Amino acid sequence: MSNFQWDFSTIWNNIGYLGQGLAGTLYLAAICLVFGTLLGLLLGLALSSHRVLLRIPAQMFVGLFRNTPSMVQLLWIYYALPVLLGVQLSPFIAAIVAFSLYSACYISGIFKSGIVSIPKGQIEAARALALTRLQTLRLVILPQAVRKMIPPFANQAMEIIKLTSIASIIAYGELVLHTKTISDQEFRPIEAYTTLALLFSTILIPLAYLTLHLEKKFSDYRMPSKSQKS
Amino acid sequence: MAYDWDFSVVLRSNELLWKGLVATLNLTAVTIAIAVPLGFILALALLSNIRMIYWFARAFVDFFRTSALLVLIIWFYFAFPMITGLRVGSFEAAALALGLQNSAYLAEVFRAGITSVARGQWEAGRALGLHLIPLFWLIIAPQAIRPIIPVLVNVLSEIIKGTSLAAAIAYAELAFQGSMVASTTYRPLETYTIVAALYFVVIFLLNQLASYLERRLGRNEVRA
Repeated sequence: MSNFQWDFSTIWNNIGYLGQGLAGTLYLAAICLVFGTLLGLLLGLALSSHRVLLRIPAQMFVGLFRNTPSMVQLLWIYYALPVLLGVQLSPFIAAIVAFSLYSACYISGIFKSGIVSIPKGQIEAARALALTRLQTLRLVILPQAVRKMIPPFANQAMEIIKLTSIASIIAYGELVLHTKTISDQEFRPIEAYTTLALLFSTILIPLAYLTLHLEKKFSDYRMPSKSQKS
Repeated sequence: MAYDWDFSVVLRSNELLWKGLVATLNLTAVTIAIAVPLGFILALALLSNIRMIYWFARAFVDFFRTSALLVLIIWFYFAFPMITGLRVGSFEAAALALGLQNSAYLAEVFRAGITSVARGQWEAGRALGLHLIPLFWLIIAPQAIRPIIPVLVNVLSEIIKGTSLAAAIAYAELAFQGSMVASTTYRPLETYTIVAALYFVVIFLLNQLASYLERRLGRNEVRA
């Protein structure tokens, strides 16, 4: 079939539906990023805490989520958790719960290494200035840690966008599901799925280059930038 | 709320789940067989001085690194056979998608490993009169491999996680078999808990191995 006739007109006719899918993807990704970050901060603090009662449960939680596929987590939350709760979750809510928890585990690692990277002297200095713990975190640790966290954070945002594609298997209306519908209706799988792949790339490749740029800008800002070559 | 856990119904279907686990490992093995050699070639291409080769490899790596795996799997399953006229089953489609994406990840890992070897090593090899290929295999590669090994094991566990997406195109791996068992036994809670536990055991052990290797082989500067 070398003389296949590409015909994108059917895709173009469904552009509105595709746009809805894209909106669904970005909406889900944005919500998961927000929840993932908040939860990730709490987890990160728990992970770098000296209290065993905080640290161990956080470690177990992170270990559980990092060592299982997000696909299985989503299936578990959508199909298995309702049995325990007695309430059926909508695909949207299930996806938010699954992906927020999954990304929180990775984001917690970013926060933790950001916090750990701050020299002890900074915290002692804050103590000496009689700052409370919360003030130390807010005024001393986080502003410095954030610089180092920005590149991996941008990377994580990309991962979340990719992750949302999995929500199509529980029929949440995002880009993959909508493409599938178009492909099935129009009998144009090649054009539909090629458009899908290209759409993801046009969102993610610029983000990838932004991440690379941020990495160059922030990662080792103490080193002279002369020797940098990527 | 008291729920009566009952694993016995699910355990009666244990054969299906074991088959799923074997299929998962099978797909993982084929993915590795594609991704490692291709990743190595791409890494060399990324280090090439020839612009054309470099840009081709760069575009390939960037495209596959930034693609959503599920999208690739679906593309290779539904679109690829129609374009090429080849017969592509769910196993082949998943293996291709996983293999190509991970070759792109590994290309960066290998590249970073190779560039982590000090420049002087190349120069010393040259000074000893070694040609490029023996110089690479005898001097550079043995040093580059050290930081790479723990990362490789990490990538391996990521691949296992990735294979679960092949369930979307009905490849009978562990997650897919799990959904089959869940719908026939009406015990989704027990089934998905067992499936998650099986994945956990395999991936956890691999990650423990990775961090052990990382300690043994020294802190590595290479990241996926």
